[in-house]
Amino acid sequence: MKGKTNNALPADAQAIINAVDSYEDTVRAILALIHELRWDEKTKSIRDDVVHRHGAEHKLPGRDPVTPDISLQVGNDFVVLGDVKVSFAHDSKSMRSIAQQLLKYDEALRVLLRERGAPTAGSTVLLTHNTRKVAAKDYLDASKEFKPARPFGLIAFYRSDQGEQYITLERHHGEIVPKRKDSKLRGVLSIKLDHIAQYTVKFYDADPPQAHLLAVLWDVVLPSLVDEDSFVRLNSSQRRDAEDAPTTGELTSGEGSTPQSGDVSNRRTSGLLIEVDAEDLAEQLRESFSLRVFDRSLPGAPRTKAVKAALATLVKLGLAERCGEGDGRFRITYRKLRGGPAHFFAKKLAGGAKGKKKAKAPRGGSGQLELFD
Amino acid sequence: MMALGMDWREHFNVARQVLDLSNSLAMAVASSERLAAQRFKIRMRVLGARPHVLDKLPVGDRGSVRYEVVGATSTSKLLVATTRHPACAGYPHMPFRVELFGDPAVAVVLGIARSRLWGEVVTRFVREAYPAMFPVFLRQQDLKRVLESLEQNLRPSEELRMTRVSRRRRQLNGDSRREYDSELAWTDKKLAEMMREAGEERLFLQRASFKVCRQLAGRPLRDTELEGDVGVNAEFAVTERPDWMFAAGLQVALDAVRGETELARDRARKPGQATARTIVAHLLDEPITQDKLKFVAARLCKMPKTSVSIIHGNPYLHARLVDFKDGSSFELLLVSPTKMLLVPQLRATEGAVTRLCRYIYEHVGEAEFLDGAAN
Repeated sequence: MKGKTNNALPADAQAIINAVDSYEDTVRAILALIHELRWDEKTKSIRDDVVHRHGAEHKLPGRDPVTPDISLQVGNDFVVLGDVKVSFAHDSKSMRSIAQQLLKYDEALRVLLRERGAPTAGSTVLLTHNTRKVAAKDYLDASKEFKPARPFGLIAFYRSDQGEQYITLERHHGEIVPKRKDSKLRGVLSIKLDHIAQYTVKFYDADPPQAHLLAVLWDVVLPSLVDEDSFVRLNSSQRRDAEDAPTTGELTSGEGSTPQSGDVSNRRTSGLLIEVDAEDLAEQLRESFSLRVFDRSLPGAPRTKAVKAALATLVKLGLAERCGEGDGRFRITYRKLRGGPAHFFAKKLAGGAKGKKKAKAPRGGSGQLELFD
Repeated sequence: MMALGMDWREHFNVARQVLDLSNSLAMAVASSERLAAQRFKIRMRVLGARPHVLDKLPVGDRGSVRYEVVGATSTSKLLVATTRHPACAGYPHMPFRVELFGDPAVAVVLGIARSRLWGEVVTRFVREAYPAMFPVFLRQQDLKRVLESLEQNLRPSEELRMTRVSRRRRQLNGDSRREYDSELAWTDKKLAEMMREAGEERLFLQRASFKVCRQLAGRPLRDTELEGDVGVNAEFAVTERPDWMFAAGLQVALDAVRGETELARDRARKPGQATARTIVAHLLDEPITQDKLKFVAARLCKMPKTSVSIIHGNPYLHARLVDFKDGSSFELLLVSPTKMLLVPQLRATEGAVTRLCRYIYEHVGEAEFLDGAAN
């Protein structure tokens, strides 16, 4: 099966892939909105006088601070604070909770706009998937309690295919400031996916599907933790083994084989050994793949807890073992995974891990999913 | 010129003198003619090079070949390779020269050898030198420019005739279990006719062998002793007039390769950077319609020494790829039927970028690769 795509994923594994896809689309929608808010129509370029405070604490008088998923101040022009609820909510209690959160952001905006030197214009936004915009609008319209003092806009997003791939944003309800941005978003704004794909962000504040986190670790982060020479040595050793004996010396895609200590030189052994600390790994993800890329002082995502859970899953799958003191150090056997990491982890998480829950398709459904207790 | 009456030791000693580093590369090329013969062609190969590559050349025993440095300057090294391969038992030693020039630096490997020994020595050498030195490739338009330049720089009354061409046609459909159709044709066509035919039949050239012929007034076209090859690996070979191949062929290829290595350089994103240094592949062949996406995905998954995750397969393609030769990783997005984005991640060596571009070129479609920031 080496090198073959598996187009016939089981339904529950496909649901996990769909959840990953949904999460990635949400990240892109956030980036698209940030991209648009930073865009200067006059100079046709991205403004560099933007202060990013995504996920940072915003003061509320006499109450706990809030941490909006989206927060940016564009020069002295305007401020936008926002929340991301890809599936909005399905029960009235959750809807009410979202509305109350948005009112807190409205209050935080008031505090922000009164700071010395701050812009005088600002709005709050709720970003939700296109399939949930009507439910969100209906609730917020009907709610007697949801009466923000400052402009509020409900922005729907979806990925669209118009011959080319776009992320489309629509200000479906309310209004935002400045007016020029509101007009563009009200009229439905499609941003080419290649403008968004240049951004390196892969995580936002909501806990990612574990399959996504694992795939990003396996595809992007872990190989960068192994120096080039180790890969080169591994390939040389496998080549020499192949020349000495007629057995293919590829990194195997077997499962659960016992790693050798140190670099691999035995053709029967599969992989490179990498020791990681969960906190360090989480910090690296936040540093390089969260909204912290816009400002290094931002908290970023994912949480260390999510990374630890992912590493614990690798242990369950036989791809890692715990080492050192405490519960934060792991030794990972890094190798090729059958069918590619995304599909590999989707199948494993759907099918075999202990204590699993069956994943549900999230689009139009219940939002991001917990795959393990 | 035929190297008649020379045993291999004599040939070897003369070759070492010819390739000596006290001569410039151009002089060494010109001097090599006295050793060339039909089978002992003067051979050159262009390779990408990272800084300090000369300090990282493979030496010592590497499988069945031993490499030894016998001379060095700041921009070149003279090596001797000795192979134990039985097919080279008659002439097991080969001196060859590695020279760097230009900025970004490219490397030229020069030797005078039979194809078997050259292949045995240089192919392994390049593989062992990776990623400090890495294979490059010439796109069709670059190969065409090289061949046209050679043709334009012939003497009056001479013309180029293609004698053997190796070509491929990409297969992006479900009927074929092969990734491409291959053709090897022995012919006597002129260059323009050969290229026109290749274009009409959607074939891309892998390697072209040619003869230089002379047409004197009132006489039929006659072969000269000058034969050569040009290949997609930026490899050149010639039996005579190596200075013509060097000036008219290699120099054209060097410009193309320099552009390629410049594009591949410094692509890895730094931690904390908000945007990646993307590469855009503008696909020039047929657009990749939705029905072909799964075949493109399948091709990507077959790239040797890589791990590929297909994140999204329809209606657009999103994949992540890890190059197991050195740990480089990329995201690939087919954002339109004619545009693919290559998004380098935390490590993206020049060799890995070039390898990926070449694989897309050979297996997905004719493409022009450009810096994403400007395109």
